[in-house]
Amino acid sequence: MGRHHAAVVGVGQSRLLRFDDVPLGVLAVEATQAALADAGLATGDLDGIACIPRQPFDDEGSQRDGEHFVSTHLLLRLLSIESTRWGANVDIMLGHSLIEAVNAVEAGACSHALVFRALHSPRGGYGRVTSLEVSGERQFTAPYGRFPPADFAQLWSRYQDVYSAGSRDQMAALVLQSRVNGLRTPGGYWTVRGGATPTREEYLSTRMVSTPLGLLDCDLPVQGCTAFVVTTGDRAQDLRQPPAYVLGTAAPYFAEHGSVVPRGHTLDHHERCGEIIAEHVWHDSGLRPGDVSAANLYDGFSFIPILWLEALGFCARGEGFDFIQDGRIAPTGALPVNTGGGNLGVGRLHGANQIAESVLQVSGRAGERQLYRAEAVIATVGPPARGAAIVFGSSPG
Amino acid sequence: MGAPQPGRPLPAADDLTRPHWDAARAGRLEVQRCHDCGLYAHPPTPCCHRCLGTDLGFEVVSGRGTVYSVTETWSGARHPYFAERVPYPVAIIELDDQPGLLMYSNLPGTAAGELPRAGAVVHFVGDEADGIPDFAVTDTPTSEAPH
Repeated sequence: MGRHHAAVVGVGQSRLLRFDDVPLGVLAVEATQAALADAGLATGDLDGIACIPRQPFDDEGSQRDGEHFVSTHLLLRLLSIESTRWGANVDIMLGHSLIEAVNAVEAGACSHALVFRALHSPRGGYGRVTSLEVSGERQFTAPYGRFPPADFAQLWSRYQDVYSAGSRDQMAALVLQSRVNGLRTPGGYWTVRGGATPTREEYLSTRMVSTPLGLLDCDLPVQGCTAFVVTTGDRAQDLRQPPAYVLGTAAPYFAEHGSVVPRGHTLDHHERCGEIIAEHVWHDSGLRPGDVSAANLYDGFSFIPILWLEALGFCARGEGFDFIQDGRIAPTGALPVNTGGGNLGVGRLHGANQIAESVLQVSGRAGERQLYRAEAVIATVGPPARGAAIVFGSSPG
Repeated sequence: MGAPQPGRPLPAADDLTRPHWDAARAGRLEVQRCHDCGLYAHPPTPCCHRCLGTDLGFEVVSGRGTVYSVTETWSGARHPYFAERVPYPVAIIELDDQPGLLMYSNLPGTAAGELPRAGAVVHFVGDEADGIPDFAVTDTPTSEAPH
């Protein structure tokens, strides 16, 4: 028996909109109600709540709860819940919030925890700077025009230089497969809005953003929310859906990078952090890479899954681009990757798709995407330096 | 009359960072250093990350380094000044003075589409107009490969 006895028993997805025509708080309630309905629970059953109440990049201007982000406190008010026994506004990303809730449920701090991620899609894009004077950590980046996603582009470009590998032509395999998978996910941005899957030629010719990162290597910002319900495996027996058991988790906190590179976005740092996360999650789950039948790997930018494939030990350093060729990561391949489409295939939900898809696969609820084998599936959230990993299973560990 | 040209975003120096920027405007590359253990810190910190010393000052560094990683931004520049200048290079420079001592650079003198690779040798060049430290690729017979 593993140390875990929590399970995810409900998944809820709001509408995915392109801009902020509907307040984010409304979409958070939409996702919560869908997750509760999925689990067969009522609002009154919730006694725990966690989220990351933050946007991907700090924009200039005001940051209003319910509009630019949604905190646990505001969502409780919108749900007319006066209080919960446990709650946490967790730093970093969704993976850490979910694992905090797993820990809380397993420790008996609460019985049914809601975990959600709400993402704002501002008009005009994230992270804009219009002022002539920049303060804080950006005084060392903005004068050079270093804006996201140049940081992620630089991870890929250093990889190319260090390993003499990793062409855009090779990357097409992952991006195109993600878009194909995303169209099979109900509620995905392109599933709802329509639109053909890009061709290899379109991937290669669509405008360059920051070399070697092109437009289709970036996930599409959306306004939306995904919510999950976490409880114990025992309580899960009485609920509506087959539980997705938590078999192993890794949510390390890393020391500050201590450089002018925001969030430590250097290739070496990400590789080291990924190595640590891999060690924790495989140890905690008692599993090895060969034991999982699919990997849903965070893909805010297309290069990030390459980092994860190598860090988690699915292939060696420098071999990630070779690994994703020849249909190996397709749903019928040796290691299906991002079978729900991921951020690239459904929209920027900051890893919510990776968690949701893993839960649905191990509980046999993935519909037309259901894999033949899905006893254990790993999900990662965030690039490794801000990363977390969770292994879900169809039976308790 | 045309619209005023957008200016380059410039640092709003604070108490910790002011000596670095003041030196840069005078054409010197100065980095904060711990007087107790000798560790450089950039960005400047209130206490040394290694020995927790608080006797910190600014010292001129070698100005030599290598390209750690580099990209050329073609679109999505999130400031009007840079939006008018695409494509432009953005590099992370690792100074020779200490492993992991990093700074940004626009690699002045680099032609569009001809980025150096990681490991290319660079040297400090001041930007007199804006007082922003920068680095240019040093012509060397053989650039060392990274690692």
